[in-house]
Amino acid sequence: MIWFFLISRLFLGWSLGANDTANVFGTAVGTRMIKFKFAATVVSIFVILGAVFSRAGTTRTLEQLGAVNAMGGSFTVALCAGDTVAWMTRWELPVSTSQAIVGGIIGWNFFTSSPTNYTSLINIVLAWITSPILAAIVAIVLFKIFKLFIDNSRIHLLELDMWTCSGLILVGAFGAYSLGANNIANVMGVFVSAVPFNDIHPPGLFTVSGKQQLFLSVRWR
Amino acid sequence: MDEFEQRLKDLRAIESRADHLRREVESKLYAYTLIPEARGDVLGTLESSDKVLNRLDETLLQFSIEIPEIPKDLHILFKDLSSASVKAVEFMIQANRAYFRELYAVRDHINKVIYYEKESDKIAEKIKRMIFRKDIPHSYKLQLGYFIHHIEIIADQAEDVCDRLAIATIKRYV
Repeated sequence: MIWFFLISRLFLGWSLGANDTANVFGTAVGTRMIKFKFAATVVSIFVILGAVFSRAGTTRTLEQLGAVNAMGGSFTVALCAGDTVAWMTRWELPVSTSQAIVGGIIGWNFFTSSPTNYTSLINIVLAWITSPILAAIVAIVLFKIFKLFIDNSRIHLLELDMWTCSGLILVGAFGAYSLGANNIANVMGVFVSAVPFNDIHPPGLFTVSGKQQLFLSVRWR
Repeated sequence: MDEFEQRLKDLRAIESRADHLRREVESKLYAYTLIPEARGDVLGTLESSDKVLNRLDETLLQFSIEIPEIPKDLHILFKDLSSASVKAVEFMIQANRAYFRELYAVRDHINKVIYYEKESDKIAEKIKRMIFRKDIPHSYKLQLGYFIHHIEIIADQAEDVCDRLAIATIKRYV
């Protein structure tokens, strides 16, 4: 039964991949600089790397927002978020998995009369507001710097094309890594408070906690 | 005359090589999905530049076939006209090269092409007026006029390439 409840996180992960791959490589594929298959391969590899090497990511923040302390609840919240993202993707609307999962957690808190940590919620909402503004500022600054450099250099158009293509791949890979690092918590965070696994103590060795087993199970399944 | 024929032969070899290169560039740009944003402009400019080369080839061929007899008093003007057209083509080539490496310099080269195209128009008009006021057979006047038109149109085509290039340059700036 535990494994059945954990299925919804796979669905959320699938929705996340379908929706957010476009955020990472959308412009590169749209301008035909990079082929879709290649972009999808790079994203697949680096999302996994990001999820594996980023440790728990933003899990603690989601935990603070409201603890979903039953496996059925975690399953429902992840399923709702996955469903929302999947439908938005079907309607060709880029949507944030973080927003979907936060909405799901708040919904669960209302349903179970559990308290919502408003400080945590405000921090999350502030992050949503500041991140596009910050991204826009960084984009403007980087654009100006690169334009100044390109205008004053004598790089051949074909060389410039090669550099642009390499840059897009590099940035795309970095974006995919960040996507994996940031969204592992969205997929797994709601299950943390309802960890269904007991600690494992291999004799004379280290201890593998329930949380660790949970994250390992989604990463290696 | 032998030197002229040799030059014509050289030009035809260059023209043939240019055709081959153009096709190779076209297929490579698409096969390796290179410069997707500027590909159409580059191919268009290549094709129209190739037409200038074809026009040069045709003009020299007509000279070789018809061997027109140019009145002595028009020799200098004919040379001036040829020189203006050739200058226009030379600056067109420089503008083409600048498009790939020095975008800011394209406009300067284009302005020179426009200048020499206007010069060639003026000289051509002057020669035509002189020819049609001469006491020579009408068929001879028409033949000379035809050759003037042939030389003049080389500069016109160089200007057409630059018009295209000017838009392509603006597109890269945006």
